[in-house]
Amino acid sequence: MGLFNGMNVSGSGMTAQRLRMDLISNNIANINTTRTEDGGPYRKKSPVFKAKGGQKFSIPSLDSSNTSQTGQGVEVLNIKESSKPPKLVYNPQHPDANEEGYVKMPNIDIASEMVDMVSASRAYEANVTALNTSKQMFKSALKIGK
Amino acid sequence: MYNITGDRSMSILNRALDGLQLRQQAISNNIANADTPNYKRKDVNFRSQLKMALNDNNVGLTTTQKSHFSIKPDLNKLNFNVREVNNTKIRNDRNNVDIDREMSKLAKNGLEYQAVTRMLSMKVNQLSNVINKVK
Repeated sequence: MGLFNGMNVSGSGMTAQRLRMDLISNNIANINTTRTEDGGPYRKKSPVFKAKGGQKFSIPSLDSSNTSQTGQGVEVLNIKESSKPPKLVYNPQHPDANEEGYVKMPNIDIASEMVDMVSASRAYEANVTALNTSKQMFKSALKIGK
Repeated sequence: MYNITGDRSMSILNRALDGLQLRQQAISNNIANADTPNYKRKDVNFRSQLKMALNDNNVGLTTTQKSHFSIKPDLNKLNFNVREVNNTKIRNDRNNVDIDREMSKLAKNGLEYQAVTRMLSMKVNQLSNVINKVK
């Protein structure tokens, strides 16, 4: 089941990058959100990636179809909220302004979100390319003897 | 494995496909983990092992008489090892995947796989030619 596993690995990469993209979209959409359910302004969320499988000190097995060594893709461990303090903006007209007229705004930097967005989209494309190559390989294996 | 073609090229090509497939998995995994902190890229080296197994003089025993058994290394027992590469430059998050390199390796690996399947196909066609000519 080697090539199918390669496809699953690329699939896990695509899922992870899509989730990252969702979080970035959410961050950008909430760049002006001052109220959340937990109280206080919205805080930047980002995913924590972790490599799946592929033990570092595994004993190599005789069976090369054993895929535990090459790893089983990527998984999202959890979604972390940034602990950076909120930005204070002077805006006395704002309903959430404090006594001195300052509003706590989300700790999101739009430039770094845009950079992350491009990176996530490119990483997604790279996974798609890997998936397509696996597919081509599978097809050519099916054509042996024809 | 007894081989109908009399040579070992079929089983060698077979094992080469296994190796290429394993490498494909390693590259896919590297690409999927391009943004994972602390991840180290994985590499599969099977060419040197195949070469070693092919060189009968180095591995196995020499036969000087007809009654001697020739002990050729069993290609199916070949063990392709996956290793973690640690000695290349790493990023700040301790990840050393270079996406350009992985993508070019991916393309090369896919083409090599297609070349090997083409050769296997030709072997099978040769056989079927011979079989059909006798009919």
